[in-house]
Amino acid sequence: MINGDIKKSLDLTGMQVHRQHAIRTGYTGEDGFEVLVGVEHAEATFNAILAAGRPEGLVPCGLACRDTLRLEAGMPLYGHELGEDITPYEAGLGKVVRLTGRGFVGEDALTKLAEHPKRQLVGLKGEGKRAARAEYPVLAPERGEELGKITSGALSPTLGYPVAMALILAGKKQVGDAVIVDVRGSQLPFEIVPLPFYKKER
Amino acid sequence: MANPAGLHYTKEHEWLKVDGDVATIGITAYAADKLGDVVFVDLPKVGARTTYMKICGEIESTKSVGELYSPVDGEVVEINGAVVGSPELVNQDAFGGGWLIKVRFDALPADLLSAAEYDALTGE
Repeated sequence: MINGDIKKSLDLTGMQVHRQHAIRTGYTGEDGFEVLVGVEHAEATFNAILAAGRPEGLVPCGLACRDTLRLEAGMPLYGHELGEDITPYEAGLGKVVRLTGRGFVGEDALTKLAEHPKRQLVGLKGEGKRAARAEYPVLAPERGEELGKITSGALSPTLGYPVAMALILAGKKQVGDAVIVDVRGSQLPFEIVPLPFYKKER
Repeated sequence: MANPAGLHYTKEHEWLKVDGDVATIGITAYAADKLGDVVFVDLPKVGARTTYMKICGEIESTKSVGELYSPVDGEVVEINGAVVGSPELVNQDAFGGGWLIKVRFDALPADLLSAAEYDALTGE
């Protein structure tokens, strides 16, 4: 499939485009390209890609589609799973920080925080069709104690059930445990599951 | 996705079918299409008071959560149980089987739209 994609991208070189870049930094967990062209060529490029892909079923999509793919792939997004008040260890990204003692801004602070993260990022799987969306409270089923909040959530079109990521108090719950999410007044059951929710077969 | 001529419409994309002093209320096919696949509806209870342009329910789709605004002051006399069990009716038959509530209204507001005015609002 991906070879076909490359061929179609190269077809764009026939266009009268002064300068263009095709890059693979897309944040969806899927194979694909981001194409950068000058503003004046954007519409023609977009239409050319649509026309080239139409015979194979290509349709345009918007941010909600891309964000759902990102979530299904368990990829953290700034402002949701990442932020100035979330440490790499809470976000499950400790392995990308090298604490070598060689010194970088924030190394001392991070070294202390690496030991005992206050919160942990978990994946949640729900029942039915109602999504747990960002900011909804996550509660312990036993006594209704608030464990944390949803960071991203949607009904997964690929899997057919609601999925969400949540930052919850560390050490309280693990994969397989049940939690409750307060979905605008309804207490709905969710299960902690491993991330990512979905991995595309290569 | 024609908007039926015999109905009243609101800027919040509801339709009303008036029969005596009872209005059957739903959301338009245009609104249902914009919301995407509806997966949950939360309706007021029978007997509840509704207030003009106050939220009286909720319509959740795969994409987002929309609020249902009451187009009239009145009292809920019936809710559509079928749509609670099968929210997809809102998408499949917005102007028919996808109706939401029936309200005995005090008076119809002056700012309801005709089908032609609603067509113009939604660019149909």
